Amino acid sequence: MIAVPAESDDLAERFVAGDGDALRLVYERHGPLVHSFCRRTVGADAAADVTQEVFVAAWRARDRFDPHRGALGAWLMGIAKNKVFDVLRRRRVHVVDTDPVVATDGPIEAAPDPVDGIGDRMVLAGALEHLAPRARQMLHLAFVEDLTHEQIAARTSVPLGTVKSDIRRALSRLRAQMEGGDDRVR
Amino acid sequence: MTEFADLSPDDLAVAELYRSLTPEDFELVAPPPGLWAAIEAETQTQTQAQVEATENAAHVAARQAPPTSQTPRSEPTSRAQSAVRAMSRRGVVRFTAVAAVAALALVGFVAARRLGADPERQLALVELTTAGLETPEPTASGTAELVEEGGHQVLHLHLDRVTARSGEYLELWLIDTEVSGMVSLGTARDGAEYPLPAGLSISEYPIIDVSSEPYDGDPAHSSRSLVRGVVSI
Repeated sequence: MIAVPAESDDLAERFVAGDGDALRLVYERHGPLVHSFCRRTVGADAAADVTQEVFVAAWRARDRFDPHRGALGAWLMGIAKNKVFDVLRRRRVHVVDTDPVVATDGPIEAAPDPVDGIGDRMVLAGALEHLAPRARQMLHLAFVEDLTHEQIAARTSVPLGTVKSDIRRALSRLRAQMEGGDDRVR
Repeated sequence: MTEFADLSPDDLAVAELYRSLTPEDFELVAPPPGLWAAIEAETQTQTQAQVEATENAAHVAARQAPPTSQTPRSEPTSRAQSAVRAMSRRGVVRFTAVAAVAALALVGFVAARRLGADPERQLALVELTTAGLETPEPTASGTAELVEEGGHQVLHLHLDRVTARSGEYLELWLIDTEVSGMVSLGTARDGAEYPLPAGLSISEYPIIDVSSEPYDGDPAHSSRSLVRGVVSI
């Protein structure tokens, strides 16, 4: 769907190739995102452990990440969501008498939605940092202040056609950063 | 939103998500300082296990070769070189020059350690049985050997007649005695080795469990255990 690597440098390629140094750089770049997401979903106490699991799982499954199909941050967030679901499920596992058989008290329907939403919004928030200030301003005017394109053009002294193309381009760049590729890694 | 009538549904979804952003979504909290060291330690364990697996394969190949004059002292080096060559051929790992030298040193170290006095230390040997389990294959069995190798704990799994249900796969778990927590070690396979996550205490998760899992995307245990054993250390 996306033809160009979403990362602006070759870090994702080096990571997939098994470059241990790249893992450290990936951790430095995306560790705060993953850790913050974990804090919000499983709590501060468990966040570090889950963050560790995410990066170890990502390293072991690195050959399943395709830099041409997704952004590394979104892919890591996909793994983080799966790990968080694991933790939330485990917390709901109940003991059935003394028989060590695992059971949950029915399908967990409420948990995934907020977790998914938090993860998606945090990836989006991170992606916004990489937009030009003008593009961010236009998104704000269009979707928060709900101005029309003409009002935005008047407010920013930018031609109407440019406003439209800026917004469109900004959205598609953000969408590229939201795309994670294979989301079955856990 | 006639303004955005020409936007694709995907772009509109991003726009909707953008609208819903809260200040908290922008707040990042850095991981604790020691976390990278833990990740590095655990991923190096994985790398060493891969190197050892390749080294074993190279060793088997070397044993099948016609016997030549005995030069055991040079064996680690030649074995290490063939292991690295084997890896390059298969394209398993893309080596930079530095990484190749490091791997050579590591394989040499592993080979030397194998020939040396203290290869690995057995911590526990656990029989895996169907006792207490509802299973379609009562003759299924296995063993799990916990060994310490170079400061890391590794589980060696052997399975006999343990087969997943049709269309399912086997998964290996460590479960605590209260069955309130569990750790998946991944796909269970006869003859496979599983480095335990650094910092995980086997005494806290002593139940070794192999389950049949459907490909349903649900990361939780299916409740269909096939064999099980308990580590006592």
